[in-house]
Amino acid sequence: MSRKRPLSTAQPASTNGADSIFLGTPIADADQNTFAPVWKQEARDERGRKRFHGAFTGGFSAGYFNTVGSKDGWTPSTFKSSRTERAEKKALRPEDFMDEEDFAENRADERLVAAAPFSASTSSKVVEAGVQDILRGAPGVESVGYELLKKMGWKPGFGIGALRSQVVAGRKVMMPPRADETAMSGVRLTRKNNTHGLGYDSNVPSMRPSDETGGARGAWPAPGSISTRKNSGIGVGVVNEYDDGDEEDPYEIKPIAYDRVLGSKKQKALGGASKHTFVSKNKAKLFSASSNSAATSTMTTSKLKRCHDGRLPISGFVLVITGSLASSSILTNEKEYAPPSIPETYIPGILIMHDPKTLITPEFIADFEKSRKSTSSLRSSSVPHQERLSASERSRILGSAQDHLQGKSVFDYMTPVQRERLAKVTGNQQLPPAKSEVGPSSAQSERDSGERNEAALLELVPTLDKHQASTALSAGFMPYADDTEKRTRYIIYLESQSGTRPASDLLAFSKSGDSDTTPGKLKVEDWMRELKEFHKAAGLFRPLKGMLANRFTSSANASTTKTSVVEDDNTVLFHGADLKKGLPDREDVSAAKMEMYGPLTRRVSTWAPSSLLCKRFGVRVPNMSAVDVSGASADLKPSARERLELLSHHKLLNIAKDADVSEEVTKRLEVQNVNAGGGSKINAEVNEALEQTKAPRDLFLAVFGDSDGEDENV
Amino acid sequence: MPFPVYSRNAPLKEHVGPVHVVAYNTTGQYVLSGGQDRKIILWNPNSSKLVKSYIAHGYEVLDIAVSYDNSKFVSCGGDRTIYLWDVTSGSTTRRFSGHMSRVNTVDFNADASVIASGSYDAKVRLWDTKSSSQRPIQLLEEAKDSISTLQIVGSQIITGSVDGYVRVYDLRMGQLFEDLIGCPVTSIKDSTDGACVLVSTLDSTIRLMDKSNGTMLQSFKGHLNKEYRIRSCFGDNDVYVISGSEDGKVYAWDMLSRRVVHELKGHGEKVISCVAYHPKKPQMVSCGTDGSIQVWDCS
Repeated sequence: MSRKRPLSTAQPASTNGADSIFLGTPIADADQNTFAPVWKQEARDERGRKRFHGAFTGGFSAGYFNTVGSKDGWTPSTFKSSRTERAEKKALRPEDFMDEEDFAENRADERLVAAAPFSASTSSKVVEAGVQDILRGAPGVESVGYELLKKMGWKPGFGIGALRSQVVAGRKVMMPPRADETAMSGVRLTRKNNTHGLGYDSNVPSMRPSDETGGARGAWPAPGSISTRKNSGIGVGVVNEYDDGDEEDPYEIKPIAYDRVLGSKKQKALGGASKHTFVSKNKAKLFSASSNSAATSTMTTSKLKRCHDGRLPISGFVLVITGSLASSSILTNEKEYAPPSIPETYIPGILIMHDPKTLITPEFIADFEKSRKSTSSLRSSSVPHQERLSASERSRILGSAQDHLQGKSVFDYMTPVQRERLAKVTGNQQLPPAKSEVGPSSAQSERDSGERNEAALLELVPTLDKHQASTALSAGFMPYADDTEKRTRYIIYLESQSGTRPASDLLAFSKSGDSDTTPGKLKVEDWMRELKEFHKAAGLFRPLKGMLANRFTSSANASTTKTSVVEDDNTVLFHGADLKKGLPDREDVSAAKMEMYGPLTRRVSTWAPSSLLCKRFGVRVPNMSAVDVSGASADLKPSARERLELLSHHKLLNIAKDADVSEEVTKRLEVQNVNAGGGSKINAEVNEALEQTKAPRDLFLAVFGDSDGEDENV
Repeated sequence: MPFPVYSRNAPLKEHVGPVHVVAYNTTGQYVLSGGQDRKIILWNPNSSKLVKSYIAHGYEVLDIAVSYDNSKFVSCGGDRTIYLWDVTSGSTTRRFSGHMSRVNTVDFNADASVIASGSYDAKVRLWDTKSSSQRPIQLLEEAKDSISTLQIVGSQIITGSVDGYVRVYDLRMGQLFEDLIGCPVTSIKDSTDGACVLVSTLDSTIRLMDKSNGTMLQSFKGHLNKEYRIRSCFGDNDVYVISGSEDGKVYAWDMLSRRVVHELKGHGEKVISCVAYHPKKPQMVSCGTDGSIQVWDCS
């Protein structure tokens, strides 16, 4: 029972009438806020000398002014000088030479054994202990369990369990079980001296340790497999040989066995099955409906209906062994689809169509079949009686143009000698005869086609509008100043286009053929390109108009162009900085020069001070609408603003009229308008609009009063 | 009143290098001077003794203006910054930067809430001393060339620029009056009555312009002013017009007759860049490129 402290020991509850009781002892204030400044945290020894010279990296060897050791220095405290005092000779024990490793080895051999009063018996055999044994604590001491049981009504000498009816002295009596038998089945009161886990049942085959030495090599060695060397201990090293002569080296690396399969034994035992999966009964039923009836038969064998531990699968599921035929199709969720239905008239094979007009009729097909069967190759199979088609025949059949070849073949142009050579090389003597013709690239043929070409060339010349061409001609500037020949050609082109020259003159510049070597003539392609260039240039180099012409002169004839720059009076082009140099043209500058200061030299404009500035100066922000414009040059700004003001004012008037406000108000607005636009001096400090007298009474009534039968504009 | 013509024997030589500006405070008790040596010196003209020196500028000091209550003053110079000083403590209260070139001229408004500064970059910036904003209240960009001089008079800001214009920005009216003088303006001084403006230009002429219509009322010649900024001022309640000169003499004209009444030698042939007249009594202070500051008295 927990003993509660009486209230009196706690602090009195007279804490300002509150019901708070202090329990426990408060933390001493001195411990709080232990964050001392850095200078307080410096380490100093009892003399006040600084410790930890340099960077302290841990360890305490630098405790004594960077020397090693202790207060006494290097000499240990247990040292006794043998000169003066003979230290007693210490008998050296083996423990003095052992280090941590050795100690660890010894510890490994240690065994935890119950002390004498607690050891159950000297022998290690299983003792069928009764209840007494378990419940007995240390001799002479009654264990707590003992006491608890007694409290619950148990008497020593009886067993533990429910009351059973027994016949005692002729009567049925409810008696507790005897001491050496317990009502609890399955609970063993024997000592456990193995390393089996909880729930270990040696009857279950899977739980038995596997025969292979370590399913994965390097797994936990079976208990007892490591020999507890009785010979180990002090004085025995690894080098020494064992008495048994059978060297069991636990570190020996056994050769790798490649024929091992995980779980293979089980597989063999169960008939080749490895993994077990559960498939719902419905699915299995579905599967059984399919054509693969072979698989289902295996499924129905009772051997596979059970799981490997002998238990039935969960109700609703059927066990399917992976790897079997059955599983592959069930598990992969495959649905089988029927192949597409082929129309009956389909004939597999390749048809060569030579004429699209030929209808594929059953007769045709029959013919085709016949021909196919008769001929071995498919190459020239469309026509029933076959001859090897030549290329020209084929092209004719196909309907391709033949103009360029005109039915000629290579052999027409070859000499007989060349033909022989070819025949020898290929081994084919069936070459067509060589005719040694001359090819169409000869000059003769060209001459024949010359006239034909001229007309064609002329057609290709880009045309210019007549008017355009003539204006281009009259332009003062001719391009291609550096190439006079080109220039002349350009001019001729322009002239031909404008009509002053016959077009055939253009052809004078194009080479009539490859053999034409006259200088100044161009190849046809170049000639064409040049003409196109001229066409474009004619569009660009038009004569300049008016003022622009004055600005530009060509270097050749500068004398003909005007040199002066014409300017309007209104355009003033120079920067204010030029004023220093004093350009004479400006009015005010000249006036200033003459010291005629006054309206000519003065410029007035509006300037808007910022509101903060006005505030600082203690000035009301000026009213910008009214500007007293005096002086010669009136800025556009004020007048424009004025106009805007007038406009808005006009709008205001209209609105006022529309709103059916009394006439007086409109009159007032008009008066104000006049005032604003009239140009009379405006006192900026007095704002009339704000300082108007109150509107007349009838205006008020009109706006705010009740409407007694007056027309109201809705 | 007589004109102060007598110079003291010992001119103040605290500055090293040319002195660009001298200014009286409102009572006339002290004079502030700034020069090429980046120092500003507060000294007593009566005793010719140095009272305090203010050292903060990175470049030469080009102009100084004193507030109405004499508690602070503002200075500007080549480091493109405007320094607002506290007189007694000698430290800079605020610094305004934003100009893109050297600041030629500064001035306070009536209650020292606004500082106007004109710079070589042709802009006038108006700074607010009351808020801690780093940006000017307003920017006046009408000038096409360096602002050489400016003055705030009441609710008007008068600027003179090298582009030859004198611009009067009237806050009350919301108008800008631009008067073309024709020659680069080096100095502007408003008259006591506020009706006219004294304009020094680089053609060795000082003109008195009427603010209302831009006409010239008077012109003063005789001195030499072709290259440097020479400042001119009024003296003795606008009776005299006083100016320095590039020939080392202080010139004084009678305003009405435009005659040269005095030519005072004091700075040994060196350019006299600035003159200031005592607000109350006949005393004058001039400074020059020789580094000396001369006090002129009547006796």
